[in-house]
Amino acid sequence: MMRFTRTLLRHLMAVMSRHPRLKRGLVDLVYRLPWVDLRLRQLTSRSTHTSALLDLDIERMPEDSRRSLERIQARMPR
Amino acid sequence: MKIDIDMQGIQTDSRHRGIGRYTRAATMEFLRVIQGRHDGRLIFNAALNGIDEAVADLVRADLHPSRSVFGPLRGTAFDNPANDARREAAERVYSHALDIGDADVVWFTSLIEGYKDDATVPHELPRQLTVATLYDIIPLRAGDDLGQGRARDWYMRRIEMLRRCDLLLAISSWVRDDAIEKLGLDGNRVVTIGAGVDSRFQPTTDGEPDVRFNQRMGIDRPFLLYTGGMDKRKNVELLFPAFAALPSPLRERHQLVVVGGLDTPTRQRLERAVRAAGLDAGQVVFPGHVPDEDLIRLYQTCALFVFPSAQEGFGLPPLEAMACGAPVIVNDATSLPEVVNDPSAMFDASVPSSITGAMHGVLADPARAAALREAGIRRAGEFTWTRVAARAMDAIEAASATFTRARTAPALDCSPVTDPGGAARVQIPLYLMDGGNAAGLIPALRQWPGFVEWQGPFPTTTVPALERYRAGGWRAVASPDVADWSLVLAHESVAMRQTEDRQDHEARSPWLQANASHPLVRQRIVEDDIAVQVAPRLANADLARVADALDRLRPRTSMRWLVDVTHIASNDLGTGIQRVVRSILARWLSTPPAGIRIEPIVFRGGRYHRAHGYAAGLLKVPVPAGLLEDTVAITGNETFVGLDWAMESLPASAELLWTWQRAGVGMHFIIHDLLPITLPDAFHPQTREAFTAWLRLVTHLSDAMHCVSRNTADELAAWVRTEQWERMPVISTFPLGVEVPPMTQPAKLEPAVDDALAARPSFLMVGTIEPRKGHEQALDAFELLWESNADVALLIVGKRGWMVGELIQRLERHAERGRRLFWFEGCSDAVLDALYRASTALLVPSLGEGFGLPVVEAAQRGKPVIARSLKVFHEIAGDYPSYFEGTSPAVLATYLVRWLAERPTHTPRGEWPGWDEAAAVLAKRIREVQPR
Repeated sequence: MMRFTRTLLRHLMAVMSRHPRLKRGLVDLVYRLPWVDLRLRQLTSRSTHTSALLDLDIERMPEDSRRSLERIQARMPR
Repeated sequence: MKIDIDMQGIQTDSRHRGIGRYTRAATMEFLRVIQGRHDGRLIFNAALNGIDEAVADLVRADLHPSRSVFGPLRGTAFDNPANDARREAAERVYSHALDIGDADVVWFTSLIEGYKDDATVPHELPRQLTVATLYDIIPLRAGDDLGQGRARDWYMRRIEMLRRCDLLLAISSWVRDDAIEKLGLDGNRVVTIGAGVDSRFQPTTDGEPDVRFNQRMGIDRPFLLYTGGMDKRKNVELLFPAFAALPSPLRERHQLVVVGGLDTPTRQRLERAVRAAGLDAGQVVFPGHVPDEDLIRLYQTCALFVFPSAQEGFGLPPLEAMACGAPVIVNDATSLPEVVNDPSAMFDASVPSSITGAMHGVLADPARAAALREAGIRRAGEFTWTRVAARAMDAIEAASATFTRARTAPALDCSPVTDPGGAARVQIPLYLMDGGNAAGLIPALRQWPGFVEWQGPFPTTTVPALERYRAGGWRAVASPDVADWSLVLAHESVAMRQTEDRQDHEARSPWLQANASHPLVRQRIVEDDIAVQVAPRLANADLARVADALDRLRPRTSMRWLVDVTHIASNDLGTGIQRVVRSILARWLSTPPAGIRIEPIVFRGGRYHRAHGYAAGLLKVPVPAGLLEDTVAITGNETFVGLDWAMESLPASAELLWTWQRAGVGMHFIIHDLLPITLPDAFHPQTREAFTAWLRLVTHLSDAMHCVSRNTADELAAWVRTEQWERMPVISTFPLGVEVPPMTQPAKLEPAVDDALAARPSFLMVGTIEPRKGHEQALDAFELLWESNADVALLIVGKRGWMVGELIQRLERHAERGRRLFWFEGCSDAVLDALYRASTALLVPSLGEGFGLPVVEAAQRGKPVIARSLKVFHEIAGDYPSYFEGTSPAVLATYLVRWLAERPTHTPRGEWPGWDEAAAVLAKRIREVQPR
């Protein structure tokens, strides 16, 4: 559900960025509903900035670390 | 001497027990005692907790040792055979961390860790003088308790490590003697340093019983106290029959309070023992684990402290109880007589009537209790952490005076390589380079670090941008002359030499040997060892973590400042804050502070990445081919600079920044203003909430917060005080730069605007249209002026902001629009410059500003300024503006009429700093602050 909401929001934001008048109208509308406004802003912020990932991802290693890994792998016994 | 102290003793579960208490107190006092004499540094394991608490303790004690963090390498606990390969790899990584460091001494505060946690010991005995705290070897005495499985294997390995240490610091003479006897150690290698008692443990000055406290603990009469572990050797169960055997009237006047953490099986065991002794539930109380302040109160108010333990390495609870003025009786066993030093306070726990007799002797005789109290306080006074630390320092100094252990020189394969394909086959390749093959060999050199022997002169051609970046950062990319070929090769290689004769093997050999201990060489040796011994048993993800942990240990030549540009890099709205970010960062990139490499970074997909595209764009150079926007690796020589206002991304990235902060990364944030807090009505509730949360987070993370004005710094300091933070970050100020762009071709204004400006006095407002900027008051004031036939014009330059829907409608539909009222929602710098020059004065009715750049921009052009009397405007512009006060339209209208009649002139204050100076001052402020 959360993923669906985020995807929907991302698409909505993309559409709004192409149509400033639509964006302004929606912002003015939502602004009158403070709770909805707050929740939507929090959701859009979270969909833009995903939570920090603390563990190393082998697919996205720092360059120097990756070189070290490749050296170890290359020197492993066959 | 440089003394590295392994702090894992306060990182595992031991931090909740005596070992953690001992490590924390002894280390803190040791750092204090050696100040000015030796350099004490702390090593933490990133896979474990406890770093934040340790850092907070150090800050409270005003101690600022440097610290390093290795790992994280998780899943290494000894109890699970599935962890074996990970643990072996982690031990090699830790060994390497110690090996490439420059310490003279390594002190392990607790080696007996890592059975059920990820604490790590080095794979080999460090080459430095190796010291360990020796708490006890009691499990060896009762060998059966160890069993025959992995627990025994783990413990015996740790004991072997202890045995091989150069110096053991025993916490009691009994422990020292026991270790010498059981481990066959040379007595000169084991020194008793004792233990101390914290100064918080002292007798109460308040004689009144604390009824509420007693109720909370379940205490309703005078009580006997025990605190400590609940394992069998502590003999807690002997207390119940001994207490039950007291004469009935005496027993009924007292309770027995047993303090300490209890899991369910232990509680059930003890409750069975209570019932078996024939005691009622109310006669024995188990408050569980209590915080120190409660424990102190219990020590201070008990009628008797009784400690029947059969085996202790030291016996901290009796010492703490004595320090708090409790009468103390202990079992006459192991180290306890050494602590109490009073034969009359001993009993023989193996004889039940002996415990009862000792209890009765004190409870029934107030004079005896008083004598024990006095003797205990005197005795406890002899145990201070300062003495412990001084003994440790003396022992380490004495051991180091006679210590010799040379680093063993490995036999290296340094075969010559002339083609890229050959590099992978040689352990530490010797690249024979010249102008003809260098470009082809450098990628191999980068992948397979080695020595470079260069023949002939270095080429004079420009070094490719990628190599310039690697050797000298963005400065070298922007200025090709900064990095020549020799610099690049020196950066990439273990060592480089220029020679005319490649056959001169006699000169080559000592050169190779002299550089055999280079960190890259040591790293390659460990990589090969891991490749052969461990890697085949590791999953790819684990191996990647090992390689990453290993590589991040490599000492880097320059400090790096990681400048967060998350928001501006993805969406530069041209705000004032973003102008500051661009201006400072551009200068730092092209002319970095000495010895610093500037790395713009962005938080994307849960990780920080290097923002090469943004950096290149600022410098107006192409991104060097082959340069990857990879994730940021923390090596311990970084400083994080939150230059951009990352209110939205910081809540997501904070958790990562905490890990950086624990790794010793200095944390700096730029604070532009506190307006959502000081002017809450001018902001959307969501903005107020998000801003306050952001500011709290930043304050918590920061080593220093750098404000753009003294006014903002004062407001920030006041807010931090109101929030009652335990730790106040450094708050500093730096000036913003002001530079009017030179306009060779003045912009042409629209004819209607031109005519309007020529025909009448005009007032210019510059800034986003938002409630705090005072547009509404200004428009109301001008309507009053127009109604009274004053012929004046109002020019508004600024984008539509928030909470101004009605005002925007008024502007759009105003009868004077296009005649005497003009709104420029977006205009170029050239048009803005033309408007500044053509208007009569700048009008700034803003209710609050962090800085107020338009005031300075107008003053620089010699344009009169009419501004609200804000503290920040007085700070940045002095007497130059004409100041007005009051928020009513009439007040402002009247002021403008008077101003037009008088046209007061003010002398501009001296030169404002440019962005070069602003960037330099901010860099200086950052350098001045030592990270936590």
